[in-house]
Amino acid sequence: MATNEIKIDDNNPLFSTQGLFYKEFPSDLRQVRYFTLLIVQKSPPEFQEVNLLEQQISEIIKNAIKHGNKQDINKKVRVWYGFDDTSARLIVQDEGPGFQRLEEWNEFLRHRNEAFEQQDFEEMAKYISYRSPDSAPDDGGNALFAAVEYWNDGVVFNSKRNCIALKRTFRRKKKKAPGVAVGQSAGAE
Amino acid sequence: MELHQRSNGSVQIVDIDGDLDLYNSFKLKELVNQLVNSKVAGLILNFQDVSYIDSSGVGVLIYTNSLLKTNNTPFRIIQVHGSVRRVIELTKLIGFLPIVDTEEEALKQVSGKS
Amino acid sequence: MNWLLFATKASVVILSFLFALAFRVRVDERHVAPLQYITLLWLFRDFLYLFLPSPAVLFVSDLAVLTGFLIWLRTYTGSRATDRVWYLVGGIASVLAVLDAFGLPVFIAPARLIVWTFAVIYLGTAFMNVSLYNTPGAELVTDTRIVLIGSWVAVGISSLLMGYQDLVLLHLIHAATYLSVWYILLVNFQLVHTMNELTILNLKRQEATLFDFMETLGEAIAERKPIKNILQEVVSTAVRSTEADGGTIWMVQEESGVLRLSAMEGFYPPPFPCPEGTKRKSSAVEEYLWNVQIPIGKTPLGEAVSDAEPIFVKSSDDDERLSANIDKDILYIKSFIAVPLLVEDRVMGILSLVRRAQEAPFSDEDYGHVRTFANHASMTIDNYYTYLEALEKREIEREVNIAADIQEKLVPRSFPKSRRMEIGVYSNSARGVSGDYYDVLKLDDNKLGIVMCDVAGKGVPAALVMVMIHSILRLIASPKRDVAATLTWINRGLSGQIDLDHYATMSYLTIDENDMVLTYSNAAHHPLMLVRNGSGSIEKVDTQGLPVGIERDMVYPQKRVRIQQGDVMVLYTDGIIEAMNPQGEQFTIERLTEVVRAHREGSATELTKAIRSSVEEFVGSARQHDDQTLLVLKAT
Repeated sequence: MATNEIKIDDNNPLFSTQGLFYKEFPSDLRQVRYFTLLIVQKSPPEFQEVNLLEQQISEIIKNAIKHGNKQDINKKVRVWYGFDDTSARLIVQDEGPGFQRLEEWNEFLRHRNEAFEQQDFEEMAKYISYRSPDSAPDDGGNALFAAVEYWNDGVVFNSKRNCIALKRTFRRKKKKAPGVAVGQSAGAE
Repeated sequence: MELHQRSNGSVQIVDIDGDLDLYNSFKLKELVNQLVNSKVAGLILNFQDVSYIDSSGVGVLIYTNSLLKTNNTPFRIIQVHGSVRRVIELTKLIGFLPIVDTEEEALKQVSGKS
Repeated sequence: MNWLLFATKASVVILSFLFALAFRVRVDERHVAPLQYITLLWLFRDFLYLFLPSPAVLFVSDLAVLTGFLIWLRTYTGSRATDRVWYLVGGIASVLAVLDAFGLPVFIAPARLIVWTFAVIYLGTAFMNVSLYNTPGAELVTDTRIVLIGSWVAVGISSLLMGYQDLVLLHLIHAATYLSVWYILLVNFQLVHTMNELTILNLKRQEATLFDFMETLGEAIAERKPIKNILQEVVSTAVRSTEADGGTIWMVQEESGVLRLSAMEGFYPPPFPCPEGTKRKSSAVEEYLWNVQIPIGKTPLGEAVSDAEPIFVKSSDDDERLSANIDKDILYIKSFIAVPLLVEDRVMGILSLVRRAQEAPFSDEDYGHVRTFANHASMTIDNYYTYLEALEKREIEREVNIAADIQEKLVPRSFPKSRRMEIGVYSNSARGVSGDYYDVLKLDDNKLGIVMCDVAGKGVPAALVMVMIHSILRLIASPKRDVAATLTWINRGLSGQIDLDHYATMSYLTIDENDMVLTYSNAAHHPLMLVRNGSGSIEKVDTQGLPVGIERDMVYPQKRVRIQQGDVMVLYTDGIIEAMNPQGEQFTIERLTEVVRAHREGSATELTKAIRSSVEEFVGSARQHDDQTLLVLKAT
């Protein structure tokens, strides 16, 4: 199930670093693709859509560097990550002030999802990209929307809001035709 | 990432080659601005050779879409595939952005409207 | 009138009656009963006329027979309010005729003719008003009515010309009308036969459809066509075999939990409201369909998926599920079928068909056919995914092996002879990674070049980066060229590539055996661990720099260190210090340092072995996530 909002929960099990790999990166945007490749490198060869996984991880790291550490090269981004056969986990912590506009963002997401559910593109046009006074002109303003869809097993912030934990569970081991279980509707219902 | 421009009638087609991300999506944005200033009659972005997009790239697509809409210029995105399509799907923009399969189809729609 | 004639006529009538009994095939009881009563009426009339040879007997019974036909017709059409006029006129005429027969001359021949004419016109009109569209299943009426009306007109005209009690009329023409029941039943028999043939034809066609479908699919699968083509084949076959106006397949998008159009054939108006702007042009509707996302549970299609139950709306007239499609515009749908594509306990998507012509809704047979077909199609689609999975697995395995082969070919099998340096190497590739690379080059008689490299990423792309680094290094490494310059060149060579992720950390060092000077330059790899002989102190030799492949204009610095006999140098990759045990702990640089310190007295090979067994013991049964590479140098 996709996440309908990002919660704040210091005690969420997703923050447990037990069994995860750890790396520290400088806040250097130029190196994000490299950092991400280092992380993805440890995923099993059977993983589908590694490119997408890589892309989604890089968005979270980019956010930490841009909005968290404000690209201060002396500030570190700390990353914990791990994979098993069916899931990927990621924790990214920056040294910034935290995502203070989370509530506003959640509200924005709610409107966006509603408009989407009704396929009301005119209404949705108002909620396409999230902008705040901190946004840079080259910010897409859409990375976290994809993140809450992609990281389907949870997206949480710590109470300082400078550390985000995410988990994605992949389809069952055996690849099957996509579908939903009978008697259950998928997605952001 | 490289941008190759060609035209079909009054419609401009931009073949994008490479990644469309934080590091280079501004190039596309600049080109789009330039085309709009020169009163282009229709625009097609060809994603055949794009296998990586990030949120800034998606942002430029959103920007292009609304800019061309304001200018009443027909706009289509074609040949979106693989993880690029998945990213746009995850962002729930598949229905919102004017994505069609083939250049032929896009040309038909774009020229029909201009 | 004599008994013999009566017997002849009676036998014809009785046979008609029996005939009617025998051939009730496909015609249900309520349609047959009136015909039986008609034959009984005839029998009764002829019998009565033997004793009471009055025209009234003939007239009244003929009116009754016509009423019988009217009742027969009404078993198809249902009763009509105007029939009251019939019964009123018929009733009055019968009473008058009976009075006439008992000597009251109130109902003379011309009056009879008027009533008869009225009756034939009324009945004829009622019969002619029937069509297959307003009265389904009335083929028997439409196929026989001309002959029936003809026979009534003929009786009317003959009685006018010949007089009511003319013998020819009585014995020949009347008897001939008895055959009309035979005729009806014969036509019925023929109809039943044609229907059976049609059913057989239909079944054969369905079988042929399935067979064709399977054959086309076989080809598609053999050619590894994308799933989209398979779905297109499914929907075209479904549309063709049911003569639908349009059909679509919508597949569940697992990620977003919505349905999206995956294949379309013909013109398919969406069974849900669509934006005003799209309503005018069919091409706009199509474009809308390709873009729309249907939440599961919403709209008839979404509901059929969430309930995993098929939907059949024979006519949109009386079904609110198609309320978006009742206006007679381009969105009009007459008849609608939606069948979920089910495998085991999952819904993959939905196949939906529409018919748009007012007079031609889907039949129950069509619906049944679509359901059977959808079952076959679901199974096929699911199997195709399984097949693709097997292929993909093979593909993954192949890629893994290619990458591993490349890696194996690039790393040295043996090391160049060196007068003053011992070299020990341990390398253990993780399946599917193939990112670690090391090399030892003999630059000239007195100079060794050593590289340790960890390519970011995995598989064939990583192996390709390895090939590039290997080639560039072999091309430019020379005793004259600075270590830093070599690294700078490699970086420049890699950064120029588009469309390839090409990042690697790498340490490059040379050792001049004449003066035992080690020159080291580092592109963000782990620093060189230098353990001094004697004191056993550990130095980290490092220089600043980004990984290669990130910044084209990077200029790497270098550092020189003099080494002494017995000094130990260790280069390693992430895989060593990040090796994880089953408890999720990592080996760490600290553990590595400890082992190095403890075994520094031994030879390079011994130290390598010690580190290797220490790592192996630590990891135990845990899965290896990354290539592990270790290179130990010892000055002798």
